[in-house]
Amino acid sequence: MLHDVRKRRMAALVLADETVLEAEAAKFFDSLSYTFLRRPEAGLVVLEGRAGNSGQRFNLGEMLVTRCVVRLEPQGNGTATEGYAFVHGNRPRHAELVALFDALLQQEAWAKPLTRSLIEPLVARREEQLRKRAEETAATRVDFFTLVRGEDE
Amino acid sequence: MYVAVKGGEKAIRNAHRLLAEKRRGDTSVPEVGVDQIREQLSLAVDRVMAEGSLYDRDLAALAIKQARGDLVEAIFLLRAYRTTLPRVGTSQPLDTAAMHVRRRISATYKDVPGGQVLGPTFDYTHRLLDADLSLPAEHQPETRSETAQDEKASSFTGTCPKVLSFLEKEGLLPPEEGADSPPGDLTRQALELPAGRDIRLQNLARADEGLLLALAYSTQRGFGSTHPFAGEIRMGEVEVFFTPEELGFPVLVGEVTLTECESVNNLTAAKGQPVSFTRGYGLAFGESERKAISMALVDRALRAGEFDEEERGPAQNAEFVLYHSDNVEASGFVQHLKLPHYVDFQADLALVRALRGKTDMGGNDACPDK
Repeated sequence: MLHDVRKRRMAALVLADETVLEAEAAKFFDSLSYTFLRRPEAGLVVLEGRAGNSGQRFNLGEMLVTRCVVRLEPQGNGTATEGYAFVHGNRPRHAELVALFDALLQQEAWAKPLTRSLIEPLVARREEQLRKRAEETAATRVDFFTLVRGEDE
Repeated sequence: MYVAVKGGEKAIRNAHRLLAEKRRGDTSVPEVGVDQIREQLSLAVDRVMAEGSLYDRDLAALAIKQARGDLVEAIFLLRAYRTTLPRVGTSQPLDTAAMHVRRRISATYKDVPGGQVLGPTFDYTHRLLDADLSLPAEHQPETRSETAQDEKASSFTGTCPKVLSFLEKEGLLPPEEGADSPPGDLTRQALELPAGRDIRLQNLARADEGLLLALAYSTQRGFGSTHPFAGEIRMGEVEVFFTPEELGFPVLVGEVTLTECESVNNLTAAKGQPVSFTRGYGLAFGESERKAISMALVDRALRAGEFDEEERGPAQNAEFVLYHSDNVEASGFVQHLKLPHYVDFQADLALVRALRGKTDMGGNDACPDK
């Protein structure tokens, strides 16, 4: 279940605007001490589909991603943590920030305040975006009706 | 046989310089930005991603700019670029049932649970050129959509069940089944026949849209008809999950826009089985509806053998379809004809002259400047 929490946080960070992460990190960036275990690097993830969404798996194509791993020293007591990022596109800075926040959020001193100041607003923003997208789409909802043309009468 | 030629370096350099100038066009007109292509020529971007087999809007837009808008050239650029990148792994199979739908229509059911939403479609436009678009935005008439007031519209949540699941539940359409083993990969192994459905679907997903469209059309006109209905077409965003080895649990990498078409096709009655519909499947990157529908029709046509159907058209012939579908390969082979073939041609020329010399004593020399 620990993974579920981390997964949700990482998802929020990946879908976030890079500028939002940058602004949040700027608040305390100078106090952090971290090293790269893997510098941001672009690569490909194969995207698999399934016939009819349930049948034969097949390769649909590939997606450009950037991965990054950092090791973050603890502030005060505690142990160092490793943060991971796999982010769509060629986005080295975004990947670095995702990895950094992933590492921070695994440290007790940071988890709660960061969840409140960053993750929760990101999740709310995402939900708002999805709601807006659905609303725009809903306006194009169509009711077709069939007509009897009367040739047979 | 192709014999190499040398020389022409200076001419080639100058040709490329000229190409760059032509790409830029009239310098009194502002240069187009990659971001403008990405945002405003998004369907060109989608096509390049789909056939380039690489999902990245920025790279596809850059390729379109570099290729002066020649999409097949842009596709080639993307294919070449992907070979320079390491492969990180494979995603979990994309779940199109969980798609955040922006368009979803069914040509088989009028009142389909979840509703039909048109989304941003060219359908029902009058195909009249809109002179307003040649004006700057501030002079264009405002086009805001009226808010959806009725209850039905506001009940649309963005996700909806798969239309074909209703036919499956009734037992009228066999569910898609397939081994859960990892699929083959055309980018790693050369195409071999007979090709499994995994290889066929991968091939079709990166196939030239024009070829797929023509083949799909040919089945409709009788060259291996499969009596298709568009059971469901949906377009929207699907989340991509990937399990990194180091973590051991799936993480969200991003979301991709996909178009999916599931066709309902003519009947089959396997021995001892009740009669049922059959199905074809199309899935493509981006908003690529024409491609997805064509792919579903060709996928179904290529299943002819599975249903003991007589092969009556090129679309049913796997060798014909799969070996000619890739526009990078096709373009390369067709266009290599413009490279110098002087030695080959000299050989043919000598042969023709020799033959003519034998039958047509003292004939005119066709090439006096020799």
